[in-house]
Amino acid sequence: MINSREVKVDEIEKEAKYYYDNGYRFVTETCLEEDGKFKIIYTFEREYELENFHVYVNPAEEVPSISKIYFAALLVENEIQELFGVKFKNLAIDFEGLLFLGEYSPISPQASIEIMRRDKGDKNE
Amino acid sequence: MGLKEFVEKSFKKSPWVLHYNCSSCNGCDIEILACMTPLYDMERFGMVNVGNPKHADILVVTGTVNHKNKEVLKNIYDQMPEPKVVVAVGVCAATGGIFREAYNVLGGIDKVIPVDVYVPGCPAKPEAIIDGLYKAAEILKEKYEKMGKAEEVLK
Amino acid sequence: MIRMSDKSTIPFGPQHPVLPEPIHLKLVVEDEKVVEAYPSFGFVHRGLEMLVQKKDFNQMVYVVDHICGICSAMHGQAYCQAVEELIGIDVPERAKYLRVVWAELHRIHSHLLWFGLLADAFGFENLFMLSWRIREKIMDILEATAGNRVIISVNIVGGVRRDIDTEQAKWLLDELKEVEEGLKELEKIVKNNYTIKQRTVGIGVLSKDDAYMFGAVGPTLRGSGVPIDMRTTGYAAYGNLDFEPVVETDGDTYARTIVRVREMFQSIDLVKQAINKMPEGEINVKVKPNLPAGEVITRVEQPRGEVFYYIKSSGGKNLDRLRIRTPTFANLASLLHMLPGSTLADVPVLVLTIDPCISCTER
Ligand code: SF4
Repeated sequence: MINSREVKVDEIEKEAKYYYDNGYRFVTETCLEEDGKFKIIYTFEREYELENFHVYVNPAEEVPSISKIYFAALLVENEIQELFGVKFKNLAIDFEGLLFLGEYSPISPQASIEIMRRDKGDKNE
Repeated sequence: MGLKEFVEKSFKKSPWVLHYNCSSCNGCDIEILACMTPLYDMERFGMVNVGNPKHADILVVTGTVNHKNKEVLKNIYDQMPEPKVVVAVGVCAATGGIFREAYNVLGGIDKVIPVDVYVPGCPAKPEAIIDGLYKAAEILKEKYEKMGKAEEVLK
Repeated sequence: MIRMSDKSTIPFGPQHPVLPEPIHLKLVVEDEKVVEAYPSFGFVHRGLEMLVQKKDFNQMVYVVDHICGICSAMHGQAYCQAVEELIGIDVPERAKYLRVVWAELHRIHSHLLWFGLLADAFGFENLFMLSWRIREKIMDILEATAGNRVIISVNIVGGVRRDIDTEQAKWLLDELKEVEEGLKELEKIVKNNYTIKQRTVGIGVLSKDDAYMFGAVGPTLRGSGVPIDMRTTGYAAYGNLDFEPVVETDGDTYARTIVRVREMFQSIDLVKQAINKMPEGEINVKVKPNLPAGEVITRVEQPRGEVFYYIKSSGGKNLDRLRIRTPTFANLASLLHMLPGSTLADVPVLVLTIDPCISCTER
């Protein structure tokens, strides 16, 4: 079982800053779907102890990125953006959905909630 | 031996191999690399691993095709000069194997390019790979001879 | 003299002779200096995490084994440990020791493989052949004990699938002695060779703080002087074995090489300890076909660093979600930090210094 606190979407940056200042290492973010919402779990580590917090995100909502605080979060946030369609704002580098998937791949394949469409014409029907 | 015979002989006896990893799990790739190392040593058949598609006669492909690398694979294949032979190593390359049902996987590489030799196994054993390459070299020889005839007819 | 516009973009990969795997880097260079680097992956992305919906939790063991052929036993181990924790079963002691044996054998073969590739990257072909020759011994051991050379799939939920009997254990230890001798030769080369030092000392320096804050793991982190090794948390049988994380402080490619070389000796020692301390008994227990609800995180130290498994289930045969954060994924941030400022000729060495495993990264 994992311990995790719930925080609000606009508190993410504050929380991340707190962990950064206290010498925590960024481990990863995990995205999953729960009752039509996305749940993103943030995991940090210090001295082998994991600390988690999570947020619930509505499909249309934008999530503030923590990649300016923890550079390492960059890749995983791009991955979530791509595979689930959750939008992140303020990303250090935005791959615009072409980090993992090709132009003809299914769109946000790991999510059943559809919120993103590729705006490159009708290559995907 | 004239130049023409020399080229002909070395072509048949010493095919150059290009390896491309589609979306494999690395298992087959490290077995192909193992084929080049002292224990299995495919260089005794005159096969050399090269990095440039324009130099290669045999294309060895591992892993399944996905939506992103199918163009890369096609591209590499098109860049190789005729005659050319394709070897699909591992069940992934043949049918999609264990990844078949995953969303980004198209299936075997024969969906994209024509395949001449299939080497089964997950991962294929070095012995099997060498056997496959040997077969490929023979097919290459045949293709080469056919091509020569075609040229004669055209003359 | 006319100065040309000084920036140009060079693509690196996806099909590149140095790399057995496709990775694409867009390098912006100024003369010979790299100023910016943008990665692009996806050539190996298959979408394995989503297979949990199609395969039940026992079948998934084989799928995670195929995430990466190099450290497959450890993927299986991490996944099985997660599911076992979720169900709440205790694995027999002997199985835990057997898991250590196979995991450490994988570590040795993975490091040797990496070492060969590094040597190949800077044109030291002889060394490549040498380290791969030593590696073949390990492959023989794996084949004899588990039945396959590369993907051995020994782990199942509830224990392991095969046993190593006394006779085989004795043979294994004899073979390891030969491996150790080969490694000693290798170590001598690494410590004294001019070429290796020229190409690795001072290349790709990662300071202690950077390594920690970029979330680096495994030898990349330990080469910079941070003693973090998941094995010290004592999963499987590591709690009963005697070892210390290998740490070097220089933080360059050479330090990371030394870490890996020393880890190989450590792994041999761990295999010996595990075989000597292994108790008799069962090697697996039966599990019920249905999972309880819950979520679990496990971490296991792979050759490239810690792997992070998150699983969530709400009952039934299938898991709801499986997420894997692999070590290379964590190390990529450090790579992106190291590349700007290096020369173009060092790029292959820098890419290899984190020991990238792209199949893992993209799953
Ligand atoms: S056939 Fe098996 S070993 Fe080879 S790439 Fe596919 S999954 Fe990996």
